[in-house]
Amino acid sequence: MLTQARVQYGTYKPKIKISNLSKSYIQRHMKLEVLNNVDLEIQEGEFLTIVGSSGCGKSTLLRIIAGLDGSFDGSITIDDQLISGIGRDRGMVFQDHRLFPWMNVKQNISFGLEHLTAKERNRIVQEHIELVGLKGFEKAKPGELSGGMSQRVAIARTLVKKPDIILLDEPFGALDALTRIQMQHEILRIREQSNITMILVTHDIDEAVLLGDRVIVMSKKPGRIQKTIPVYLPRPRDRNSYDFIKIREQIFNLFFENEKVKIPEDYSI
Amino acid sequence: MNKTFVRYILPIVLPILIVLMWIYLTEKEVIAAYLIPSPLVVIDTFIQFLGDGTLLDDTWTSVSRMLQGYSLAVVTGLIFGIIMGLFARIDQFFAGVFNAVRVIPPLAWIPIIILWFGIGETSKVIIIFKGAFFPILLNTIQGIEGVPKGYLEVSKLMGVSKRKGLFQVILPAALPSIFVGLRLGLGTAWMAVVAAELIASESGLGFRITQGRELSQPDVMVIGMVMIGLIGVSMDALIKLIQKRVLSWQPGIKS
Repeated sequence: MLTQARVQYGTYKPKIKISNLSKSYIQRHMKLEVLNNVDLEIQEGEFLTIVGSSGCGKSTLLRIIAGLDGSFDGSITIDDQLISGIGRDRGMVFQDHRLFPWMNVKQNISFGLEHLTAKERNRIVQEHIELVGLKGFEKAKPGELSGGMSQRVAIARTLVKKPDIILLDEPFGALDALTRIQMQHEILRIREQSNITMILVTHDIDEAVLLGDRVIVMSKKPGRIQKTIPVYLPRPRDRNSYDFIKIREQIFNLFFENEKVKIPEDYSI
Repeated sequence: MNKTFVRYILPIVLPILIVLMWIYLTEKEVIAAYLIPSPLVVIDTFIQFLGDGTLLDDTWTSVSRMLQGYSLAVVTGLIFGIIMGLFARIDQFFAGVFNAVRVIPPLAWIPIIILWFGIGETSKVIIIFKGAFFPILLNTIQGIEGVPKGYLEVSKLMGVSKRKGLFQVILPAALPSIFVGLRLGLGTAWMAVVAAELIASESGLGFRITQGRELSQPDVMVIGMVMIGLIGVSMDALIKLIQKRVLSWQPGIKS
C-alpha cells in the first residue's frame, strides 16, 4: 500500500534493484544456464521469500546479491549503487551455520567487530546474545550447541554487524520441524525490532508464506522468476487460516500444475 | 570395572608375557646368551650405565640433536607449508624439487651429506631436519588447502583483514592437519637421529647400539633399543597431550 503511494507520488526507490540478471556455468564444455533474465525490485524493510526446487538457482541469486559470486550478466544496485563484491551493508546466514568451532559463542559473534572499542563491542555482542535468547551460553563452543542454537548464533553474528540487508540461504533447512517453527517465529520477532530488509530462500512453501511480504516462485532450467505472489495477510499469521491455505495452495499448484497430485500434509517441495 | 580392565590392564598383558617368556628362555638357556642376554643381565648393565652417567649422556646427546633438527624443520616446514598452501603459484614453483628431494630417503642422503659436511653435528642435524621437514610441510599445505570454503566466505563477508583471516580462521582450521604433520615429523626425526648415529657418530643412543654390536655386548644393544623406544613413545605422548589441549574444540578429540 505504502509502495503504491510512493510510486504514485514518485518518491519510491527500491532498496535493491536487480535487472536482467543472467548467470551460466561452463560444465564439461556445455553451457549450463543457472539464472535467466531475473528482474526484481526489493523495498527497504521488505521481507522477501524466494521459493523453488533444488537447482533453480535461488541460492546462486542470493550469493550474487551477497557479492560472493561476481561473474554474472546484468546489474544489481543497492541504493542506486552498483554492487561490486561483498559489503558491510549485506549479511548472510547459511544453511550450515558455519560457526568457527574453535571460537566460543561470544567470540563467534564478535568476529569482524574489531573496529569497535572493547567496551562498545562487549555491549553490543551481549545485547545480541540476549536478543537471540542465548544468555548463559557465551562461553559455549559450537560443538556443544544444538542445531537451532547454532543457527541463532549465526543470526546474531550477522545482525551484530548492523547490515541493511540480511540474506538467508535456507537457514532452517537443516533443523527438525519443531525447531524450525520456533526459529521462524524468532526471525519475525527479530525483524519487528529493526527495519532490516530480508531475503530468505527456502524450499518450504509454508515457511515462504508465513514469513514473506511477497513470495517469489522460481522455476528451474534455467532459473527464472515464475510468479510473484504478494501475501496480504496480517501478522502474526495463522498457518491454518483459510487465506493462508489458499495462498499456499496457489503456490503449490505452480509447481505441480501438470500433475494431478493431491496436496500432501507437508508442503515442502 | 570392565572399562578399567580394557583401558589399563589389557594393554600391559602382552608386554608382561613377552618379558616372562624372555626370562624363561634365557634362564633355561634355550637361547644362547650371546644372542640375547637375560633381562636380569640387561637390568644389571642398565643400572651400571645409569650410575656412571653413560645412559644419560647418550640419551641427552640424541635428544638434543633431534630437537635441533626438529625445531628447524618445524619452523621452515610451517613457513613453507603456509605460504605454499596459500599461494598456488609458489606451490607450483617449489613442488617439483621438493618432491624429488622428499622421495630419496634420509639413509640415501647420509653419504653425500657426510661428504659435504663431515661427520660432525651439522650432518646429523641436516639428516634429522630432512626427515622431519616433509611430513610437516605436506600436512601443513594440505591443512591450509583443505580449509572449508564456507569459513573463508564467512571471513570475507565479515570484512576482516587478511591478517586476521589468516590467524583467526585459516590457521585454526588447518591446525588438526598441521598437528598430524608435527606428530609424524617427530617420529621420523627420531628415526633419523638413530640412523645418523648408527652410521657416523661417537656418541648417542644409536652409537651405543653399534658399539654393543662391535663389542659383542647384546645387553648394551638391547638397552639402546629400549631407550629409543621409550623416548619415542614419551615424545609422541607429549605431543598428543599438547594436541588435545590445543584442539579441545574438535569433536571427538576429548577423552
